[in-house]
Amino acid sequence: MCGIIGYINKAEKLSKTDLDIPMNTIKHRGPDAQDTYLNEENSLILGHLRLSIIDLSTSANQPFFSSDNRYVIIFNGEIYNFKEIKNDCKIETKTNGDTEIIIEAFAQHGTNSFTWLNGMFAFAIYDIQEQKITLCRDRFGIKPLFYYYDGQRFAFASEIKALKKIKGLDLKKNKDTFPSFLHLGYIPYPYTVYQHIYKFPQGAYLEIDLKHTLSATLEFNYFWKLKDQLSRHTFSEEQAVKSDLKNLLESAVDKQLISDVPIGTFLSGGIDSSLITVIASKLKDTKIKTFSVGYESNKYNESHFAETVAKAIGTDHYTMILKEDDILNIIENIISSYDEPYADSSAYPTMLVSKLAKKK
Amino acid sequence: MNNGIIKYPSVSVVIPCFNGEKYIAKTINSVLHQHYPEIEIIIVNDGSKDSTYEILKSYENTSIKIINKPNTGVSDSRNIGMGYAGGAYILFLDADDILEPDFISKRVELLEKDTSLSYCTGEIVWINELDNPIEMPKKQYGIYENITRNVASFNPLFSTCPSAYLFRMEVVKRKKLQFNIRLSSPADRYFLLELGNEKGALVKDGGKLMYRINTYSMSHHFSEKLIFDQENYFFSVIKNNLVSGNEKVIFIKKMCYQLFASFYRLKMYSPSFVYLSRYLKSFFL
Repeated sequence: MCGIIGYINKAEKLSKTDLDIPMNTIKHRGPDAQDTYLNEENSLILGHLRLSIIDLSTSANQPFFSSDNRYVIIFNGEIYNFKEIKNDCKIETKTNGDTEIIIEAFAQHGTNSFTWLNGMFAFAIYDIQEQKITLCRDRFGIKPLFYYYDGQRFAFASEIKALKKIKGLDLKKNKDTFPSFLHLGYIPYPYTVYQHIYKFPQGAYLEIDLKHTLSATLEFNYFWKLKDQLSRHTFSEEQAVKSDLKNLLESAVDKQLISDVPIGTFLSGGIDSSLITVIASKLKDTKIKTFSVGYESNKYNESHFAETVAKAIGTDHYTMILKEDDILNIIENIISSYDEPYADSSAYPTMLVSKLAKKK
Repeated sequence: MNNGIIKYPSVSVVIPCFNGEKYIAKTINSVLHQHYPEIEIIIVNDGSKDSTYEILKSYENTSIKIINKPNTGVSDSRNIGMGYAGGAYILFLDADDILEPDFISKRVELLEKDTSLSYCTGEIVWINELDNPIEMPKKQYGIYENITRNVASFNPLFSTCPSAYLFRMEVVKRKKLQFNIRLSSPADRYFLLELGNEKGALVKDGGKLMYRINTYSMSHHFSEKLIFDQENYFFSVIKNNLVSGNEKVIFIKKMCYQLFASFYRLKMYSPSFVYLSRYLKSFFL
């Protein structure tokens, strides 16, 4: 997890410290390094907070420049097939990370390259020569990206709380979203609880030309849509389809195992998480860590399912039994993490098991 | 060479190539040996895993641009190549086909003489893996008139292989033509249907395309994947209204019969009977 943030205000000269406070609010996303890029001419500032997963060296810090120094990128996420892209596009690199591959593939092929990225990502690339910024988010919106736009000022960040701290943004609650929240328990895409702040669409990119005044509406381009991927065909052989599904699952899990830090899974003992854990464990040479949550009351406690699976696979398993106090203690933490109203009680065990995994 | 042409508008030749080590050099050489002087060659190496890259590297120079990218299929590669094309005319050449030396000059000559023409095509000769001509029952040409009718009815006299066609770039841009990335084998048919009934011309003498028939070429190898590709083509054409009126009826009839027979051959009886019933229904359209 890293944090990205950017701000465009053509009416003002921005300074390098303008994002210091907003970046501090999302410091938890990237404690390993932090830096900004300022383009005074265009009143653009980009900030990045880094948590190192792949290529732990400082040469992979961001904002990161392309080899020709024309482009600069801030990126949050992980590209699972970056080595294949490097090989297929014949990219020569100076780091071992995926950031460099995104920016060099973009330098070579522009937005066409987005369809080649397999992974979870949210990034912004600024073309210094053309004075154009391009933002992009992964196919399923795994990596968070929010933006603020009021027709004159544009800002984006990994979390809403960072946008709230950008000086001069006009933030009011969007009361029109309240009925949706009461109905669904969350505020649906593209809205947030704030006026002018929106969720960035998944599988899409946005280009903003800073040579001209910002347009009244933003035009998103989609590089991937789920409905285009759905097959209407009838398959003939059950065995062949099963084997395809198995291969797909194995390759998907395998791709996610690329990391320079230890790997673990959240294991509930249900079909989905057990299946993923079994595959990950088979593919990984070293013992993987598994984490699950149980409850004091036997009526709700299902942690023994997870323990059975963990024992069968032979993982390094950790169980956390939730107590009432644990929940009460993290209420404020949850509110601050979610940034907007969210009414699903699963948020509590998810937060606590994440904390447990972080400790281990 | 003059052929009545005073100036030489530039021609972009886009060659998508996936694992094409066997023939790519022959294809490139046939472009380099064209009598026509103003040609830019754009080769899109579509994630080849064989020695294609090494072969291409030896050709790279100012008139040959090599684009290396991950494998995303022939349609996407053609579209990406098109993005780099700066010529007044464009040819999408398959990586195993061969052009006669006067292929481009003859087509440009016709297109320059009559600016109302949108494209130009010519005769197609089938060749085998050893470059020897394969005997054909009748001469085959690219479609030079009534594109929609001929594509919709699968007229066997005509080939839809893009290698046989030189398109005027202004028309491709005006109509925002792209190869449908969801299609492989029928992508060329789809592209021609999108072009619609634009005015074309035929080179009657010379300027032939040597179209290679490979034993393992996808379009000649019967498989479930190929049928799904045809099915996608059928859905896309109907959904996007690329055929209408009588041509639509003919198209539905032909496609349903083909899909019925193909699924039946693969012993996929359920979809086979669905298309048989649609085929029978099409007589009452």
